[in-house]
Amino acid sequence: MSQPLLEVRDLHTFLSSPRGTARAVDGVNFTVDPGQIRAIVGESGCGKSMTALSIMQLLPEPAGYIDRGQILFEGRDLLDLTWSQMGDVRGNDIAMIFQEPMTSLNPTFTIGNQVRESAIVHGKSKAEAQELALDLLSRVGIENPGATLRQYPYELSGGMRQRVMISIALANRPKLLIADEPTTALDVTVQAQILRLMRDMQRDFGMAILLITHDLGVVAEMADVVSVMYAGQVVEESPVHELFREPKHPYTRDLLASLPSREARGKALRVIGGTVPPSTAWPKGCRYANRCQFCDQVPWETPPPNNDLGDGVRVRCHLFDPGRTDEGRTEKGVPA
Amino acid sequence: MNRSDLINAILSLLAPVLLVVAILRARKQPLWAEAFRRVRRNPVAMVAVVVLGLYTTVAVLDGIGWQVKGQINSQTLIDQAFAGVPSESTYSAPFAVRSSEVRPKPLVAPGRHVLGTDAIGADVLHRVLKGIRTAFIIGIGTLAITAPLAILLGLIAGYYGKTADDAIQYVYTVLSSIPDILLLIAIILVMGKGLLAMCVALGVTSWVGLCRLVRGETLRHRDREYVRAAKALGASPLSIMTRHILPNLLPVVIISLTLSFSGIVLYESVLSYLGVGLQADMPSWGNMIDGARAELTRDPVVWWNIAAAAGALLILVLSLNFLADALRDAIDPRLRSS
Amino acid sequence: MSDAPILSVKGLRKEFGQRGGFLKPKGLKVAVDDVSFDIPKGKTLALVGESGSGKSTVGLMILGLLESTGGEVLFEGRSLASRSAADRHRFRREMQVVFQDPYASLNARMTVREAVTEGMRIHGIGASAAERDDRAKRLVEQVNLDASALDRYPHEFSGGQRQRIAIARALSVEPRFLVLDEPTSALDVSVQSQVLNLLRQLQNDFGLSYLFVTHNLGVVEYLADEVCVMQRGRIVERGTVDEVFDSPKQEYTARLLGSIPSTDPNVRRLTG
Repeated sequence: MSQPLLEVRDLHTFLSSPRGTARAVDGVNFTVDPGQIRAIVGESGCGKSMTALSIMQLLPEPAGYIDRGQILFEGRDLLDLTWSQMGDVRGNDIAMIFQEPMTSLNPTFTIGNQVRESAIVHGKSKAEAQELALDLLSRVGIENPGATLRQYPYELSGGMRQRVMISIALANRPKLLIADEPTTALDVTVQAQILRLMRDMQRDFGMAILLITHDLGVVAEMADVVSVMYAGQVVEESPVHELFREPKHPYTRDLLASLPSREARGKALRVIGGTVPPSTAWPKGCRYANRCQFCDQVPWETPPPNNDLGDGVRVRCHLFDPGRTDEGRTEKGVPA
Repeated sequence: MNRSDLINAILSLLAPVLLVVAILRARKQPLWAEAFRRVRRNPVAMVAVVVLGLYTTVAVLDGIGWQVKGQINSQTLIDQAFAGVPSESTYSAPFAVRSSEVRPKPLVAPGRHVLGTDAIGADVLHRVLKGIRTAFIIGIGTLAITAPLAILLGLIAGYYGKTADDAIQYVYTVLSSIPDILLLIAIILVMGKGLLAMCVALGVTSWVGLCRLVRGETLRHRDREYVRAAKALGASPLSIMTRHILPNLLPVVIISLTLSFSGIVLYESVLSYLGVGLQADMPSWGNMIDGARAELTRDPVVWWNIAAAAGALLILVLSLNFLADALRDAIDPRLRSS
Repeated sequence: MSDAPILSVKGLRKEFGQRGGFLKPKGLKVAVDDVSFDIPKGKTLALVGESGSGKSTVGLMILGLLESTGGEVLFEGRSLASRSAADRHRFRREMQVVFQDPYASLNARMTVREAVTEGMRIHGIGASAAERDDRAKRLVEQVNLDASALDRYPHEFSGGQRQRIAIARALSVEPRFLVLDEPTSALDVSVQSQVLNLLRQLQNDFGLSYLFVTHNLGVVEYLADEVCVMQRGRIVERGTVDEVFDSPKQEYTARLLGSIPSTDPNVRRLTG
């Protein structure tokens, strides 16, 4: 059993605000193996972006800070590193791409400048960096790399800019790519191209990907393993096929059931009533209780245990607590 | 109380009452309530608010007065506070016991003139305090002319665009290419020195900045979706400009007006120094500063007149600027992100 | 006759050009080119396309918020163009709009009550303030919000709730036709379903007709009766949802449909 590339243990990231301390990431655990694609899926406010930013230590300062936890990359705790040591890791071993390529690229520098910069900062010469830049742009499917390198971000379309972002991220052959909603701002045909590209890069470079998204379709297409986040915690963790075949946590099930589709025509879609509780005051017990259809069957006032169901499946829910004695459950614990 | 005293008193009390009512009503809107909360947490801003409150109180008190036996002019509450500090015959230094001349003479009220006395022996502190009301009248009077004009033209230019915008931009570009000082002097000389002339002159030269600001903000809001939705409902352009866009402009407009106020008050001093200010008998800091030309070359030197006037002016302008800064921080981007 | 389509668009065209004689005609950009379709009463037509396809522009022209360069829009057979200002004002009651961004489409400085009663005041609905208040209360309840929402400001609500307020505002003038411009694209998945359910229910209860402008094909599958696919200003394919989704005739449509990620990991359309 090889060592995981990335291991996040008990991560707690908080944001201080005039309204109190928001516990944006409240005890998150997951691993990413070399060459694996893990998706973290959740809706706005669940803490998935903050998790990604915590790994890269790019939290908004001074409000955001890591309260406790460990982020082990190849066995080393990134939180123990000095700023310059982390700078070596960033862009080199771990790279990140963001949702809005327009604001991630500096509008006053050429594309070439920005692609070369990543390589130069990590030790290559200007000539080497130029060679690398041309090679990378053609790999990401840009037709005329030489001309594109001389252009400015505003001259490119959204899809092109995201390709450029990916090539910048890949300049130093990172072992892990963190992609935060990389295709949300793109058209659906462009999204398909970018996802295909990421898959190809993963195969060619043996790179692992931590994919942050709210789109279950993207998860189904790309992920090997999935962590579903809600209210700052991971509520379900599963290999992807198992997740879609038999979603366990009520939130995951509700989410999948609320997707509009042809099968649902003429019928009411499943609605998740209520709203997410405020992150400055998470409820003491189960955080999904106010919206869950099963809440009266369980002791929701107490925090639900994170049950390990084996084969890489974990569910944070009272319904799957083996210590609970109850009828009406199938063998694997899914409520009938 | 004769009729002019009554009018003065009513107007003086009206202004702060309106201000308080406006603030109370604004507090119901969560965006303003949040802004006020932020300002309250800013110590510099709170000091500025207190200072401005004191100034306003003095200005109001100086508007309430009535006829008193033995005095030609109505005596305001401020005047009456100084009843126990009689005038001297000439200059005297702060807290002095003798006059400030080549051959000093004993004073009528030795040690009681906190900021000294001026050329005709009047108490300088008294004059400085009366200058507050003058400054406020000029400031508010000018803005009462400028603001509606600038806002109206800015809204029209921003909302309608094309020819209306071109025309209005033409007017204010031409106007702003004339140096302010020259235009100010010209208008005052034509109209004759006085309060009204000064307000008109200052109004004509200061509406351009606000107009540009309003125009820019209107352009920004014009294509926003809530304006489109209002158009879809059938709202008339006037309704859209006044009910939708204008309330969203108010924060920046208020900040701009606060800064304009301080600029206008400063300008009054400049104009008085140039000799086109208010009549000499009106109490104003500008007149006091103007008099310093002779006073500073006198023997013995008289410095307290200009120091007091300039000091009072400086404190007022600083307070206004700090408040405007605090408001800008409190209102602008953080609120939008919520 | 009740068979007549409630909305007809014929040959609609929008050019964006620059004034001034120095520019050659090549400087002209055609955002919408010869678009025609009919929407039957009580039905939903989805206008599908990617960014730059012109679908939102079509919506704005139908509403009269953007001037068309050519073509005409007919509401119940009557053309909107050749009407007096008073007539056009009356049309405003019949057609309303719900925009994409729930944060920008409500005036942050107006309470919900003010937003919902504005249309009533403009069109003289409700004889007194009390009556308008009463109608406002019923409207917010219709969109599943509590009456206490009336005195609150938009920023106190979540995205999905704001969108429902926007729907209540649109309904306040009793329209028969709604243009919905990406109404759920800015919302979380779990909230989308609330809004979609509401729209479907309102259509059933009030016989509303919808023009749904979107790029979200899942929503189209669920809600639309007919689909028009737009590419670069033109309609390249049209038909019922089943026709277009099961047997697309155009290559672009096929490519579009093939780009939707499937929600079945066993069937990986995009990445194989």
